[in-house]
Amino acid sequence: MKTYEEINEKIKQGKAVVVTADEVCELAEAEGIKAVAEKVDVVTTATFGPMCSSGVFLNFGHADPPIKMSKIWLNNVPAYAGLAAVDAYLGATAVSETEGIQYGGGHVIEDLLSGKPIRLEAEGCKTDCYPAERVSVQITLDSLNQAILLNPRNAYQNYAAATNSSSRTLHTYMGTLLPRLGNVAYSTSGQLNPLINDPEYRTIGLGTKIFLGGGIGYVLGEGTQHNPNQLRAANKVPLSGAGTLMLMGDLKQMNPRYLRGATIKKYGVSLMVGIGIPIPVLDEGIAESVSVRDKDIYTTIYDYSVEKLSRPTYGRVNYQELKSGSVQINGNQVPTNPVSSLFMAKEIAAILKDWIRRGEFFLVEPICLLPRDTRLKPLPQKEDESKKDGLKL
Amino acid sequence: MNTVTRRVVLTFPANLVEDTAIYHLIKDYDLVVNILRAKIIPKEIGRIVLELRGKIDNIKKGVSYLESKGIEVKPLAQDIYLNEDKCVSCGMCLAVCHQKALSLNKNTWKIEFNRDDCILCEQCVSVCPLKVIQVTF
Repeated sequence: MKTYEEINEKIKQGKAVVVTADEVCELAEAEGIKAVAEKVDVVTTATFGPMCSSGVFLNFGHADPPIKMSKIWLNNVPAYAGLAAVDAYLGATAVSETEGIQYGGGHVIEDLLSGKPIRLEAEGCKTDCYPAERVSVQITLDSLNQAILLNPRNAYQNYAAATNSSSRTLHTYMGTLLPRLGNVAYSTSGQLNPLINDPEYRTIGLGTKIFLGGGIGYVLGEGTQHNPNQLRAANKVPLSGAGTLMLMGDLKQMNPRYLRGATIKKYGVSLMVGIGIPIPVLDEGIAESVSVRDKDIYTTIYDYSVEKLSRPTYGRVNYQELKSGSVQINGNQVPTNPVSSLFMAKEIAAILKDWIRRGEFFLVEPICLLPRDTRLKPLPQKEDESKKDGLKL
Repeated sequence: MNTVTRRVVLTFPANLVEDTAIYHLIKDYDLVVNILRAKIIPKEIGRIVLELRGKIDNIKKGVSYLESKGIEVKPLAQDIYLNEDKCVSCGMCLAVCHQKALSLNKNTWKIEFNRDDCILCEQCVSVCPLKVIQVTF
């Protein structure tokens, strides 16, 4: 048994043993779980991919004369203005009113972070305290008082794989799905995935300090659509999408290499987010969880051609099979392709490991762990009462 | 003399799009011609992606013939460019690359682009979420 304090003391002294979630599998294979529990202090996990539920809170500073902004555009991309006078929330999937999905919220976030000037246009209602009705200025990341990345749902614990049994090509958030089971697209980094390495949420919760977008970030708690009740295998790893995280961090100290605006063909705009989460090896149970390998992590293949919330499946496959380049469906070999980057995830896990080893990054014990009992509900299907008996005026 | 295969991109000036050059490649230079892709619109610049198979001398003579007519001949895949610094190797392009010119290196998990296998179908260009594959044509 180790404590957060003991591990942080070792980090301070430069004695902490830190390995990535890939490396810990090799150690477990060679020396067993007991050795992992005894030798390893921290395991770094990571993921990098499009995460639509992302965005940034901005404070522009007050204009002279002042304006209470009620409509806001950044490079023609609308931002939410239903906040105080010069506060806004720019969502990653917001679409440019002039360029369509070729440019959107995700791109504005990347451009801001890259130091590019952004055109801010805003309209407001004239009031006694806010006389101005319109502004059009250039802003930069430096000119903002705050730019706080706050992503309501990131780092999915596993994710369904996608295929297409129809006769036409589908363009989805899982990329292109070729007709007649032409390919299987998968997301998540498998054995590197943060929540897969802590399947029962024993170390991740409010306050957990993480790598976010190349800088420091924190876990705020469960993300939207957090679904701990997903079916799980004997090793407790969910068999499809399950837990999620809400994350935040100061955009000003991030790096544009790890936050990338993306346009997914015939689907929309998103933001590719790089996330790294350290997991302290507090005991043997955690040592076993972090040693989980691709071949023991299963996901479910869903048929995206069926336009229903509950889609038919083509069974389960593990990540070793998915990463091999093809899986078997109905006796045929079907090519696979990822839609999240393992290359970048490996890079992030290695960077976080390096930060901890050099004594630059300490672990934070969460104040409150992720809930394990919430249920995922669909939208109520009940008809609107006012429409039921014809229009009532 | 050995039979060889070469893939080339022909660019036709607007006044030559109705020319019968391909016929002469087959008839006069004894080349096996396989059209991989073509964009021919009357009175506009046209482009054909060709696979030529035949004796190396005949291919050279055939290419000289095309050039003498004012048709530009370039080796394939010189017009397409993957910006490796900006590519994050997400893998979305793999789904549409039927030639497997784009592939994932299983050691580094980096996307690699093999120009020799590319037939310039350009499907990857619109699928790439970061727009890091560009065609200069």
